[in-house]
Parts: sequence; C-alpha cells; structure tokens
Amino acid sequence: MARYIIGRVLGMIPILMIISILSFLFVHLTPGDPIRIMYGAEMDMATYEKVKESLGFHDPLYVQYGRYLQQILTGDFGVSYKSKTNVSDEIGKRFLYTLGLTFAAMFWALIIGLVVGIYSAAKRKSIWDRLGIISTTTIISIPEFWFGLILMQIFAVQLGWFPTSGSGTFVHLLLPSITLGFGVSAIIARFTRSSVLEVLQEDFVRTAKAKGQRESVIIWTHVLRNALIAVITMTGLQFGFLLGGAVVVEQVFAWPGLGSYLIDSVLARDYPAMQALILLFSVQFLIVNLLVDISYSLVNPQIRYE
Amino acid sequence: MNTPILEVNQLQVSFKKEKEEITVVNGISFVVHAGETLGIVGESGCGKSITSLSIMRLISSPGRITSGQIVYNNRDLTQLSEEEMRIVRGNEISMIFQEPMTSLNPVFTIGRQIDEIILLHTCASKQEAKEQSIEMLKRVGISRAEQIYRSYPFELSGGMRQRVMIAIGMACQPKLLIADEPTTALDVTIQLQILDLMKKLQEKENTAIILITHDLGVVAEMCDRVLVMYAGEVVEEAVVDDLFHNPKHPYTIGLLQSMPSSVEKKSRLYTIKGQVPPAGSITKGCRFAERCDHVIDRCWGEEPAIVLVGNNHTCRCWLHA
Repeated sequence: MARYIIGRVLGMIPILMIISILSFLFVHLTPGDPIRIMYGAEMDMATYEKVKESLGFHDPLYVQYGRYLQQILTGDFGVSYKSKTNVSDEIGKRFLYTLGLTFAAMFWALIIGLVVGIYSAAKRKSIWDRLGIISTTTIISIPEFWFGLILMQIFAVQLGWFPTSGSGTFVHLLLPSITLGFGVSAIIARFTRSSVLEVLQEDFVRTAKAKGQRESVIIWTHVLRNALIAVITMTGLQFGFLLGGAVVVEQVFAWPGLGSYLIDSVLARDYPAMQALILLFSVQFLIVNLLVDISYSLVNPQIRYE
Repeated sequence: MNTPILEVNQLQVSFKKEKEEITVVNGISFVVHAGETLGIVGESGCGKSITSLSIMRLISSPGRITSGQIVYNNRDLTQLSEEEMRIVRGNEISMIFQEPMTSLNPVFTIGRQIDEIILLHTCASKQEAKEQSIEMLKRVGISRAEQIYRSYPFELSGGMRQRVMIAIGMACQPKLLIADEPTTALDVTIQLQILDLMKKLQEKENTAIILITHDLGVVAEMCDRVLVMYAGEVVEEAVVDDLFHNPKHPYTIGLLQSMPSSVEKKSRLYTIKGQVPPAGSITKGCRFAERCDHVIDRCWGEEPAIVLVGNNHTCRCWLHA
C-alpha cells in the first residue's frame, strides 16, 4: 500500500510539469495587459517600458517560463501584481475558507444524497421514489446563484436567522454551504439510487433474504457497502470541483475563498496568482483522486494495491 | 421418517406482465417427509425454481403466489406476515443456490456471513457465533477453518464457496433444506463431493431436502422420491427406483432416454423434439401434447388429471387414465 501511494505521488510530478507549462502559456497568451490594468491607460511610454522590464516581459516566453519554474521549485509563487502581497500567503489564508466551505457542503450533500438515494431505491416506484426523482432533477437544474439568492432572501432578509453574507463565524457558513451542498446532494442521490438498484439484483441479496435478514439491514449493510464504490467516485469528483473554489457561491455570499480570488486575479490579469491557483487546483484534484482510489480498497477487499 | 413436514397444496404462482397475469406454476401439490430427499426435475423454465422460491416466500414482484397453501408445521406459510416469515427463513427452512460464485457477498468475510445467520436466529453472543461458525466450516469439510473464517469469497474456489453456502444453510439446523441446482455450476469431481456432504449432513441432522435439478444422475444419487415438472405442472411423481425402471409419462421417458449412458455407446443421444412452451401459451389440452411421441386426439382437447398408476406412483397422462 505504501509503495503504491509513493508510486502514485511520484507519478504526479510529470503531470504537474505539463500543467505548469499549460497554465503558464494559458495565462501569458490571454489577451489583456496586466500593466495597463494596474496603472490605467494614461501612463507614459517610458514608465510602461520600465515596469515591463522589471516584470521581465521583454524576455522570450521560454526564458520567462524557466524563471517561473525555478521560482516555484523553491516554493516561491511570486508577488501579486494587484495587491503586492505574497501569493502563497494570500492562498494560504483563503484556502482554509474554501476547505471549510467544501467540507460543510459535502457534509450536507452526503447526508441528504445518501438518505434520499437509498430510500428511493429501497422503495422504488413508490410515491417517495418518484418524488425523489422529480426533486433531484429540479435541484440539479436550478442555478446556484439563484438558489443562493432565494435562501438569502428567505432566511437572512425576511426571517433574519442568518447573516446575508460575510465570514468569520459558523453561522456565516450555513447558507453558502447549503447552497453548494444541495446541488451536489442531488447528484449523489441519483448516483446512489441507481447504484443501489443495481446491487439489489445481485444473488447475494437473495442469499441474505433467505437467511431471514431484514430488508432494511440488507440495504444498509450488504447492499450499501457494494454500492459505495460508484458513489465514492462521484463524491470525490464533486469534492475536487468544490475545492477548486465555488466561484459563483463565493461571489453571492462574499465568501473570501479561492473562487473569489480566482475571479479577482483573472480580471486583473494577475499572472502569479492565476498560475499559482491553477497549479493548486490541479494538485488538489490529483490528491482527491488518489484518496478515492485508496478508499476503494477500504470498501472492497478484492481491490488491493501492490 | 414418515411424518410430513411440508405440504404444498394446489400452489399457483403468477407473474404480471403488462396487465396480464401469466401463470408459471399451476396447481402444484406435493409432500415432503422428515429426513427424506425429494427431487424436483424438469427442463429450464418449467417452474421448479419458482416453486422453491415460493416456499421461502422469496418471489419478487411482479411475481406472486395467487392461490394454494404451503403448510409447514401446521402453519400456512402463504398467510404469514413478512416478520413471521423471517423467523422461518434460514432457521427452519433454508436454501442454497445454484451460483456459489455470486451468492456470497464479496465485501464481507466468510465468517461474518455465517455469523449473520446464527446471530439472527439464536441468542448466541458474537464470540459464540464465531465458534459455531468455525465448527460449521469444519463440518462441511473445510480444513483450516479459522483461516477461511477470515477470508473473503474471492479467495475461495467455487466448490469451497458452495461448502460455505451449505454451512450457512445448515448453521441453524433447519428441518428442511432447499437446494436449487447446488452442483450445476461446479466441476464434476466437486459435484460428487458436495452431494456426499449434503447426504452426510442430512443423515446426522435428519434434515429433509428438496433437491432441484435437471440432472437425473444427481437424482439417482441423492433422492428418495422424484417429482417431474413440465411447463409449470407436475406430470409424474414416484419413488426414485420406480421412476427410473418404470417411467409412465412420455416426458419422463424422454428425459431418461436423453441421459448419456456409460454402458452403451449410442451414436447419438435421444432428444425430446421441440421446446418448452412459453408460460401461459397453452390454455387447452395436455401441455406436453406438441412434443409427445404418443399423442392421441384426446390430448389436444382435455387436460389429463393426475391419477394413481402404481404404488405411490402418480402420472398426468391420458395413456394411463
């Protein structure tokens, strides 16, 4: 197992190299001039050239990339053009917010998604199952910003239970995490339902019934454990997406996470911040994928990694 | 030996298909006595598996028992609530299935799957259940039982898994064991071992067995009495020797002729022409008429009733009416 994990981590290095090249090119080839955005259109040519020189934009792209690579290998992600702060410090601060939001959202998503999914499958073709299908389809189709605004309108503005936006305390976390988690819960519910239905057809379910086991116990032990593989894959994928910053929801609720940082830095053509964020999102995805693969072996003993 | 423990009366099972009820088991009656082995033979699709699943009340929707009684221990199983039925399943009547490869849960250890049935039906503690499970594994002829207890199904061969299934089936000393094609998926050498094992356990516990199979060799090896089923009905019932030496129904005769013999080598095996009619397709006359070598006019119009043709030997055919 340890050897497998080390192998996988080493395998990430070439992937990250390629991503660093792509993100570098993507950022530098996007139209838009960071210097013009920083200083406005009225700056004179002499100053412009000086700034350009100091940022190293005169050098060919491959030289700039070489410099960039050298930098990040020493752990230096540069200084933001816009805020003049260290990019890694800013990301470190915001990462915790995104992580908190992601975990809270996944918490709702898993609880609602698993319960609805399992229940719908257990009572398939009943009125509850149909209701489950209709509501999950609806939830998946609702745009997050709209759902977030509705929640805000009802629970923050009308009822005054929660703050409308901002961060800092646990109650601030509730509305944005529910907004995010709701959409994901619908996806997880649908996945769980179809996965459980598939496993219910298996012969060992009949064996368990023939032993005299209760239907509910069969579903929560025999079936669920087997159905989890597909659900874990899906959950991991969603987790990875959410870790990449919930751009829309963070904007709506003024949540100081990575998503709003990404938007700000793209608008400012803040090259160091953009590059660092893209790289970070890639690393997160790779790690989540690795965790998903490892958790397979916990669920299914037949999957063992050498 | 002669106390009946299970009595099936006029059992009828139907499946609903697009608002139409299709009867797949039509008025079956039979008795199983304590300690005996009753064979149920017939081609695929004749309703033998459905019959066995009905006894366990494990027919899943859209199938259901539409009429008839299944009397076990003076109680009609068709009338029990689901909760009462759970206590019967695995405890008094248990079942083993054709596919040992898929009948065990792949993500739980063998031990946990045997423990489960013991914990369900006895007051044993976890530790006692474990001891009993290991004892059961030894009794079904598994050496290194402690090790197998901790193994997962994928680490075991098909024959071993079927032994485990038998251990599960016998764990609570049921009065009746239903074995649905228990050896069909196994190698021939393993088949014999599994049959021997079932016989040995039966003698020890005086368990009655309903053995469902299409293999007449297995019937000859194992059974005391045989029920021959065709298209959802019983066509002949006899003591095993009688059936093999003096078969009455043309279908039974056909089945026996189509058995490969190790003594004479014929160039070609006998086959019964045609196929089993789809369930619900025959509404008039004898269900076997289409495929029968001895068909007479009467067969097309009226369905023959089951009549006694000898000592404990019944048959559903106009030739013997």
